[in-house]
Amino acid sequence: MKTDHTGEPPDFYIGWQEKAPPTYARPVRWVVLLLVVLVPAMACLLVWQQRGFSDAVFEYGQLTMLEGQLIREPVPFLRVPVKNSPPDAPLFERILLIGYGKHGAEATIRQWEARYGSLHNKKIGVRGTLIYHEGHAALELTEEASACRTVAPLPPSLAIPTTQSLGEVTLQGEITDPKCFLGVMKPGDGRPHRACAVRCIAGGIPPLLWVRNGKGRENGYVLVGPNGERINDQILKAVGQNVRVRGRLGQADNWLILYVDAPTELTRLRADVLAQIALCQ
Amino acid sequence: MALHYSPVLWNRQKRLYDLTMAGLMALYLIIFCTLQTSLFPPITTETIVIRATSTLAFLMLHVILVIGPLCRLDNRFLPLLYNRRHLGVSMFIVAAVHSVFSVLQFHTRGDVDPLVSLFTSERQYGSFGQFPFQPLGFFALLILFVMAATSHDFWLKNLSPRVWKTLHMSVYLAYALIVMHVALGILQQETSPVYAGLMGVGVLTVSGLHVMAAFIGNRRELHPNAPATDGFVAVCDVNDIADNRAKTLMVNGQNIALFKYDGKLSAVSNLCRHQNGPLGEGKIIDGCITCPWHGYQYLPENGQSPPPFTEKIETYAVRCVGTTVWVNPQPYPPGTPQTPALLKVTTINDEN
Amino acid sequence: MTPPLRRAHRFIWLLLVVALPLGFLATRPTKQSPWLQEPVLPPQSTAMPVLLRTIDADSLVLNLRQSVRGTERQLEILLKQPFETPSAVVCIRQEGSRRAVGLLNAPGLYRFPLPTGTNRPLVEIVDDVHGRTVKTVQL
Repeated sequence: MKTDHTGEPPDFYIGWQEKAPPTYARPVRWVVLLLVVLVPAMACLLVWQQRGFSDAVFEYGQLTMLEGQLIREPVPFLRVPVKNSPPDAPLFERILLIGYGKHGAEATIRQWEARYGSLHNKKIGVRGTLIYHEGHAALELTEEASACRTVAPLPPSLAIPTTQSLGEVTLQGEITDPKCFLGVMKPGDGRPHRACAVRCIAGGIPPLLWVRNGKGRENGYVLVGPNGERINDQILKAVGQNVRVRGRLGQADNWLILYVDAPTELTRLRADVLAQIALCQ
Repeated sequence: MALHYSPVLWNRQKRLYDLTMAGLMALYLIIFCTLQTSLFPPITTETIVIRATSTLAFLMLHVILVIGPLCRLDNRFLPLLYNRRHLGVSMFIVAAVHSVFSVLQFHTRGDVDPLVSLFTSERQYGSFGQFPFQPLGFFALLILFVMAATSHDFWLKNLSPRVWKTLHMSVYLAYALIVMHVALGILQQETSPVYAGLMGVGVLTVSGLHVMAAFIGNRRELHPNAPATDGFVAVCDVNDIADNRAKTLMVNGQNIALFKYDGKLSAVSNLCRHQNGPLGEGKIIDGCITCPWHGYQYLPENGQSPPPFTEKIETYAVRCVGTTVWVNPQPYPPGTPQTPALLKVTTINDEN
Repeated sequence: MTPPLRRAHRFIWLLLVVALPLGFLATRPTKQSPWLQEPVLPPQSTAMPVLLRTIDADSLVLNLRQSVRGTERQLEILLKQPFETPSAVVCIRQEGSRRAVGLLNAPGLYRFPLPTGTNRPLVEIVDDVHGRTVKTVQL
């Protein structure tokens, strides 16, 4: 910058004047030019460098009608008969039922029962919004009390469901809330989403342990207590974190249920432990 | 300078400033959202809004924070400072959109009030690495809100420039909170080294420039320490001061601007009544001391803004003996007329 | 700016220039990478020993197997990439009729018994919820 013998610049900038003197206008023009380059570059870089988002689907605004048997335990499902399955070995697929907002389905089911009486051993028609990802499907009861559209006696073809025991397992993964993780939010896991997952699970949505092998294989396991009781409140501190869980694995049609041995003893995996194990591997 | 309060006193440079700012903001948002939807089609609208506004607000905050030290290091950047408040308020609005969407997305429709959820969903307050990051963002937004709400000159005048400036220095606390909000939040998920690298460059640029300005900026001040004679302290040689310019002095704790103009010398407070801008870095224009920050003006002889304006600053007595300038560091009440020292050979006895 | 405010600035930034990079770096090691483990899948029936045909169909690999005697046949599917559908029912279309033999969920290996006499099955992956066929493979 040009200055006189005392080190003062010859020009002086006053904001309320019509024009800035060239001494001041020129560097500011360069700053604006720099920003014109920097701003789009930052936008591109920040978008490009994201880790990506899952292909999970939430059919927002699109209601789907499903018919099947209402399962209450250990968590609410709609058990839907698979079309064209052989009568001697009928197939069923389960759709996890989830309430509106960050709530489980129980309160809504109670509303249905208040209107229609006990839904035990009934075939119901439910309308809601589908959520699905990686072979797991859930139905948000968007219309809440009005979501239950039909109630009919259960036909004999809908056999009494059983849960097949698959033995003791130890699983490691992140505790997620299936509503967000299976499609409502993206990302529906990890640190930024943790508070939301806590809210959803505190609101009664069954916790889902999501296990990954890092090479594209993933699976989810609904977490319940040793006797199928809900453990949402006990695991809130571990939600959104990497944990190691031991328990009895059960298969309920196309869903896997993990009956956790001692939910209060979920091992939260610390980053340094993770790093050590990763190094050993 | 204004006699009456109005939301914005528009002028050409403010309009240019705001248009440039709005254009760049729009450019960022358009590019970010378009790329986001084309590169990552599965993304939800809420996440696009949350990420576009958060990154834009953080980028704007960095620009805002480097303007001050840049101006102290080189006053050719002063046009960037002139309308910085609009940049700050715009940044707050963008940050507020991010916050509202985040609270709606993550905390509403749950079993507790969204604000309760904000503070209680994550509870690892005793852990550094797992410390809840959302409350940090909340407090940062609260600070930005207070700053945006008090950004108008109405508050500046009523709170006094010193209190206002102190209040607005809390932007540094907000910045620290936001850095940790980002580091403990999204950077735990977006693990690309580019994200961490950009953040590191941002933090080092802002803090490095501030530290540089804090040390280099001080070199412009004179700190005369000669003993006082009759209350007057010899401060500099008259030839060291350029015409229509000033030297900034720190004498007995007084921050003084000593101006030379029309063959005369006058000393006034170095602190502009508006925002405590450095009048000593200003210039005499149309017979008035003009503040380099926002162009507030004062008459050098009495420290009063020219009528009809009413701002006043403290004045100091000045003498010129030979080529040595003497200043009495005892301030006179704001607006007190002082006889300017004439640039001629005099002796202390002559003055007495 | 008043000298005390300027001093406060200097103090704040001397503090921040140290604290911010330290705080930022301190959060780095706590970054949690996903805990990796091979997911557990429901046990499948044993693979029949004779591999008749294999078809790689993008997201899945289909193997037609049969028993040593050749009386029983089995459809083996390696699901590499799951279908983003609410339901993925494996159906066999034969002589104009469709028969569901099983479900695909998480990625992994699945085995389904085939009806007797299945020779060159047309395998359909059907989204039962939306009532549409998402993939058809002639094995």
